[in-house]
Formats: sequence, structure tokens, C-alpha cells
Amino acid sequence: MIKFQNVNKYFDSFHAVKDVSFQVRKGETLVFLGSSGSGKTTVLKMINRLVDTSSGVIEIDGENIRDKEPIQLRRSIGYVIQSISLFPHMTIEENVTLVPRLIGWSDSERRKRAAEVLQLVGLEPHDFCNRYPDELSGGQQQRIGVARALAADPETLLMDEPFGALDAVTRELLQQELLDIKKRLQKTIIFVTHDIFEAFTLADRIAVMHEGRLEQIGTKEEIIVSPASAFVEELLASPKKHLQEFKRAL
Amino acid sequence: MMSVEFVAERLPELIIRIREHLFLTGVSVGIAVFFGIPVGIFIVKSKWLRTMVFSFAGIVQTVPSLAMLAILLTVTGKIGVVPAIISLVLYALLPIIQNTVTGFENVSSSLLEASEGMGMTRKQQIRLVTIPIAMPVIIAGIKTSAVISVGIATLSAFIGAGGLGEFVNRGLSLADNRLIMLGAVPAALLALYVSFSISSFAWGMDSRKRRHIPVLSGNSGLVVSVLPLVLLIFIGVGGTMYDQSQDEDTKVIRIGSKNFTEQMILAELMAQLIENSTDLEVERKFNLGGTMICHDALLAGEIDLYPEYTGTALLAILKSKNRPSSAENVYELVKKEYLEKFGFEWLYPFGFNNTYALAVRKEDGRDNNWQTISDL
Repeated sequence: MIKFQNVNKYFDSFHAVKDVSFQVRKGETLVFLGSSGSGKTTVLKMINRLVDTSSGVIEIDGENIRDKEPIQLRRSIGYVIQSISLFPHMTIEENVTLVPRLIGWSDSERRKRAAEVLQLVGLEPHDFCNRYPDELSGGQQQRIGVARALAADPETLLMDEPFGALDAVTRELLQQELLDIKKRLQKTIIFVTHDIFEAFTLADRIAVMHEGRLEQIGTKEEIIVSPASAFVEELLASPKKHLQEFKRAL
Repeated sequence: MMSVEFVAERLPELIIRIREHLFLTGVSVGIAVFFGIPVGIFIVKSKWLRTMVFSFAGIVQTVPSLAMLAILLTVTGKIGVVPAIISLVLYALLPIIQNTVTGFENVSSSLLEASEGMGMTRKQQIRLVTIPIAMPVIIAGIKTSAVISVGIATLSAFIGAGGLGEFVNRGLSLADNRLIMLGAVPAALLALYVSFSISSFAWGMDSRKRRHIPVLSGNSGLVVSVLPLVLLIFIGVGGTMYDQSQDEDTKVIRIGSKNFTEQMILAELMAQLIENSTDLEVERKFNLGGTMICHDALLAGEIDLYPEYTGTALLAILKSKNRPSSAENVYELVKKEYLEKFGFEWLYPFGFNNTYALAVRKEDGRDNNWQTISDL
């Protein structure tokens, strides 16, 4: 379980995250929804201590993450980011098994694990292990990104707009695969996006962020039925309108 | 044209010179790599430091090589290998530092963020991500440095550091194009080979390029790719043999000379005379760049003796305003001032005179009735 208690973050004088508190249950997918600059990525990066809090407490399974070694902490959490961040000089197999390598798995263990996680994200290990990232399509590359985050079997995955750069069809496909993986592996996933439909597709609960504040956190139904602020209402207004127009056209 | 016999006759010396040349280049580039890469890594983050280092290295780069050698001779008080290597290192540093910085800048911030987020330590980031991605660019910088060094090392012969420049110097003083070519052509070929061997090494480091050739895709490919470089180092190590310092106990007299025929003959005459009439051992440090280099070498105690001209001493070294009326008076004046200024002793004159004479067309001389310089 991940728990934020009155967390604040200042970058110099800029108040990026304002008094945020929430909890993520084990096996839950929490999606942070917000526009750029809303503080959602900063919240994500505070969990693996790429960014440290200015005040407040973050706990994982009851332990303050400030008491943990950042390097060890990061190795125990899967991390996927939007930009193509595979290492261009490493083969797919080397990319995927990087964290296991950092924590000292043997060669044979790593090879076996690479095959497992590649299959998990729907890629045939035999076809991909010895290839290099730039020989793969964008969708394949991001699958590798997910496989890499899963390689050391972490309990938690942090995903920062991982499918943002993909075309709509591929994005849809990867979203479904992620749901499938989640169902099978029971990972806790914290996912950041600005795409409201992506949020509704993936989330168990949605956390809406705006200008550093957590506007509302709740299930899809709660968000739709009782928006907690004017901002959340406004956020839903535009998709609602589009949906009505779409229905009329049908 | 250069005949086969001409080369064959000089082959043993050619081999020694190539080794000396490789030794100078190899040691210099080695030192430049050892310092240049860490300096590059150190300054990559700071714009201010970068500007400082690049300005300094850029200024060094613009100093003419010969001037650099002369400056270092004065600074280090030595002739030979030490100032030669220092100057080569200074020239080799800029491309290496520059390419290290460029190579590191090539590593995108998102890759660094991903590697940090995955739990790499700062050291692991450098070892597993930054260096492998920057390496091809850094190696290209090393290659540039090495090729430049092979060229500049040719000039090291002016301060008695040996190398293929010896042939060029000798060829220049004797106006013998074949000798110049004997230095220049191997130097050019050497530069090409150095470039090739480093490229080969770079290819070997890149397992991705090698995987297309199945025989070379494993470690065997890496081994094959470094062979040219290993050969180079192997040959160059032979060059270390030439600079063995003399045993402290044997009495050695070091004789220098300037870089033209007459000087070398005079110096050789002295050397043979000393060898035949004393039990001193003579170390010949002939063919040094010019008057100032010989003089500085004598001041620095790098040589003990060299032939000098009273006129040159008066005008070039003492820069005296006095114009004594006869050769004897010039000798007396120079002898006195040298002892006062430098503590140098002028020995008894050789007894030969190389006074200047003017050459004119016969008709001009007859028509104008020129007999002495004063008639002009």
C-alpha cells in the first residue's frame, strides 16, 4: 500500500504539489489525470524518489520512503516513461533484463526471465532478443518498455504517459494488454495521463490533479456522478459533449 | 628518384626512426587520453568551465609547433623526448576533450532519467549508459589526436627527440629530396595506418556492427579488431629502448650541434677527437633546431659542448652593440662576456673561418669596380 500524507513540493518558489494526501491499495490501478503542469508527474516521481518531498510523508507498506535507500527503492519499483527510453546500444534482451542485472541475477536467470516477460507483452522472444531498439516499431518499443519494468517482478509499476506517443489503434491495443497483464499479475499500478478516455479505460480509481492540487479522487462512477469541483465538472463536460454529438451522428 | 638501394642502405635506421616516432606519438596520445577524457567528463556539466578549458586548449592549438617546442625547451630546461612529448600531449588534448564533451551531450536526458528511475547509481549510469553511447564519438576524437600527433612528431627531431623528422631535417640541410621523402612518406603511411587501426578498434567495440559477420560476431571479432593497434604498440615499445639514460658512473660528454652540415661535421670532429684521445664516452646530440636551441640546451646542462661562431654569439646571443675591429677582438669580447653572463668557457678557436663573402655577376663587379663590401 502506498500512502501520501499532506505532501508538498516546491521547486524554488514554485509550489508544484499542494498538500496532497491519498492511498493506493495493493493491486489497484490509480490513474492521475490532469493537464501538463498539474503536478501529476511530480507526484509519480516522488514515489521512487526521483523527486524528494518538501514536506509531508510518503509511506510504502507502512515504511517512510525517506528511510529507504533511493537506489534500492527504485530497483524495487517498475518505471515506464513516455519518451523512447530504451538504451540504443543494448539488445532487447539486455534492455529488458537491466534491473535484474543491477540486482545481480545470473546470466541464465536473466535469459529465462527475458523470454518470460517478452511473452507477457506479446512478443516472440526468439524474434526479438537479439535485435536493437531502433529496429522496432513504436508500439513494439513501448511493449519492451513495459517488459523492462516488469522484469524484476516489482509489486508496483509507475507509468508516466507510456502510450502518449503512439497512434490511436496501437494505444488501444496496448491499453488492453496492460489490463490483461494486470489481471494476471495483480500489480499495483500508478498511471499518469492527460487522456480522459485512457484514464477511464485503465483506472480502478481516478485522481484528478489541477495546478498542484488533488481535486478529486474516486471511482469512475463517483467522478461522473458527483464531481467534487468546478474543474472536474469542466473536465468531463467536453467529452460528454463529444459523446452526445457522436450518438446523434449514429 | 629514390632507388631501392638508397632505402635498403638506410633500412636499419628507418626502423629505429619509425619506432621512435611511434613511441613519441603513442605515449603522448596515451597521456592525452588519460587526462583528456576525465577532464571532458568533469567539464561537461559546467558551461563556465567548458569555456575556460576550450579557450585554453584552443590557444594552445594555435601556437605554431616549432615555437611550442622552443618554449617548452626553455620551460623544462631539457632537450629531447620530454619537451617533445609534452608538446604533443598539449596538441592532442583538444580533440579528445572536445569529443568527450560532445559524446556525453549526445546522451539524451530521457535516457538518463530512465536509467536513474530504474535504480542505476551515478557510476552505473556512466559505465552502462553514458560511456557506451558516447564512446564512438570519443574514439573519433582519439583518432584525430593520433593522426595530428604523427604529423607534429615529425618536428620533434628539431629538439633532438628523434623520429622520422630526423630524415626530413637531414634532407633539408643537405638539400636531398630523397632523404626528405624517406622521412615524409613513412610518416604519411604511419598516419594512415594509425587511423586504420583505431577505426578497426572502434569497429570491434561495436558488437552490433560485428554481428553481421558471423565469424567475427563473438569475442574473436574483438580480438581481430585490436590486432592492428596491438601491432602498433608492440612496434612502438621498441622505441623506448632508445632513450635509456646513461649510467651515472661512466664519464660522458654530450656534444650538440646545430642543424646544418658544417656544424655536424665540426661536432663529429670533436667527438672523434675526444673518443680517441680520452676515455670519455661521447653522446652525440647533433642536429638540434638552431642557435637558440643549442644555447638553451647548454644553459640547461643538457649538452656540454657545441660549436659556435663568435659573430653569432656577439649578435644573436649577447645582442651586443659593440663592433670590435678584428676577429681576435670579437673572440676576446665574447669570451669575457660569456663567462660573466653564463659562466660558459670559450675554448681555443678551431682555426677556421667562415666569413661571409658576396657573390655578384662578373660584369656588375667589373663595371662598378667593386673590390670590397665598402665599395657597394
